[in-house]
Amino acid sequence: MNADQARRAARAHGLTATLTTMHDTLPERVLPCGPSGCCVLPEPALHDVIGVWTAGTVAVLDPAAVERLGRVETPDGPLAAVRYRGAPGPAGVPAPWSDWLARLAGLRLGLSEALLDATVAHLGDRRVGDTPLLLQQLIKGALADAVTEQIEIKIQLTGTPPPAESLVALHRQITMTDRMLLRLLGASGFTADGPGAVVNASELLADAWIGGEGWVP
Amino acid sequence: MIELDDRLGTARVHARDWARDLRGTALELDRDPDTVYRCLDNPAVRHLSRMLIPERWLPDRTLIGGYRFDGMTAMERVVFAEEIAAGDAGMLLASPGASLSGVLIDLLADQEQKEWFYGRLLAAPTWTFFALTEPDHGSDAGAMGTALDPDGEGGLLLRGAKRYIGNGARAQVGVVFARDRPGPLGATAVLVDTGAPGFKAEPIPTIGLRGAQLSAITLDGVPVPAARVLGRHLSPTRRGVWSGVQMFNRLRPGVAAIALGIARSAHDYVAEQRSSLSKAERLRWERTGRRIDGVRQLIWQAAAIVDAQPANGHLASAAKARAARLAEEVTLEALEYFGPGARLTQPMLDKLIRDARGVEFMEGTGNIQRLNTFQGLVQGKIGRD
Repeated sequence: MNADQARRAARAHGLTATLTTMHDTLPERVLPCGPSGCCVLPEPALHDVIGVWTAGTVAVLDPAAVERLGRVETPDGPLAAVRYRGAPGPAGVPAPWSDWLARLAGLRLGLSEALLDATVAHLGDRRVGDTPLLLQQLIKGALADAVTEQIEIKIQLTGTPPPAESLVALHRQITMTDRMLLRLLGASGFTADGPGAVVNASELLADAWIGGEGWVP
Repeated sequence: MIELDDRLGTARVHARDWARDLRGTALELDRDPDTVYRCLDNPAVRHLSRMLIPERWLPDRTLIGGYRFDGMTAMERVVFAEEIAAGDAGMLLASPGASLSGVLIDLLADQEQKEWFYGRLLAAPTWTFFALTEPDHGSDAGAMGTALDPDGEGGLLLRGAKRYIGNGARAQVGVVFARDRPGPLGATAVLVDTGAPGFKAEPIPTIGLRGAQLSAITLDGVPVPAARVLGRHLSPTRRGVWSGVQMFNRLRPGVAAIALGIARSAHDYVAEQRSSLSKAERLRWERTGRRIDGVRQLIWQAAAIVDAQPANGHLASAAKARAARLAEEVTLEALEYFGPGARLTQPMLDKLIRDARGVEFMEGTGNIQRLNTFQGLVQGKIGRD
């Protein structure tokens, strides 16, 4: 699965199904942990892993070193958040880190695109006076900005993926685009069973593997 | 990611080389727009003066890196525009050549009109202008007040005023949009010789992009031969608003590339003038570089779409709005690397900041572009597959 396939899958089938496929299509049954050992996956994906990404390479997993951090709620059910605390083993093959970040960006962009679809539908249904909110110029402008960001990101994820540092920047751009769209949804984007919950989960995925704005890899 | 083929990659390398010379004259042109007359031998200026002249009229064009470039595609124009604007956007806009009018000539002119227009350009360095915007109506073609009326002897007369017209005061020929009848199909473009009686153009002092020499044009009964009406061989539908839409779609990625070039120039300036950056500054500078790279990809995609489907300018609008904003952001951010007083002590950076403001309203303001982007979104024409 490449980044563009992840994007299309996420837009059509959602977060959990796409993340499951992304994990299933890794070359080995691994826990693909980020630089600080964190990882978020559907619960079933944790059951049969034998390897782990640690210190940039693929190592043998020590099950006792897997710490449960909690759950990430999504409309399809919770994801499991874990941290691997095992000591790095002897240097193994390099973990396909950039590829994973690219697919993750594709997944998150697909969710963002689905959010845009939902936002356009929502604003088309709501009215202020006799006019749909969708036809208010401020709304049009905000939607134009969001779709521009999404297309800019999509072009960079198509074909050869960019280097890891550029992918980190793209993840930040996806987060900011999602926030632009959430502002158009008002309180309906803030409810635990609404579109804002997917955005929250998407941001948590980025946090697990990349970290916040100021973090330096 | 989009990557340039060898031909366009070669263009980029050559144009980047030309741009170095432009930096040397950028501040001089900013102070004195007539500087362009002393720069006609600059390879970038020479190239711009020959752009948008089709091969048929210029078969022995100088090759660049073994390739022929005539500027007839948006993709080619954006590659050159970014690099030349990174040298000096003012000079790009000050240069002689077909410029904006060239795209309309390609769309609308008949054989005789092309002979006349390209003949003028090839005979000597010739500046052109494109006049749509009006003092009271902006670029709203539907409200256009400039009139094109019969003179009673088989010819026509132009009456009205145009404003913010690049190169208006130094041009020898140009295109004027005017109304020849009421209604939405009443807009017509005509070729005008600036030496004709009743034509007057005066520069309008501006904050930046002074090389462009924006001008106010007065048309006081300017005689126009009937043979200079563009698209006279086409239906009124195709020579009016349709042609304007097609033309602006084709040009918009190039304007976006000018903005990108200004942003990149400011970004490069930081690296050149600040030999050692702190770790935090280095990270910030690299992050800005990635934003520039992302917008470049967007512009290339927009140019490719316009070349393939000239009626689809929605992504071109998105790219133009995004790039204009980027130019303002990056030039202002560059100040942060130099501390208080940077606009006074770094004149080149000060110029870039002023120039960046000028791109916002070229070919439509950011808000107009966003409305056009929105139309592309709701009509499914902006490439979200």
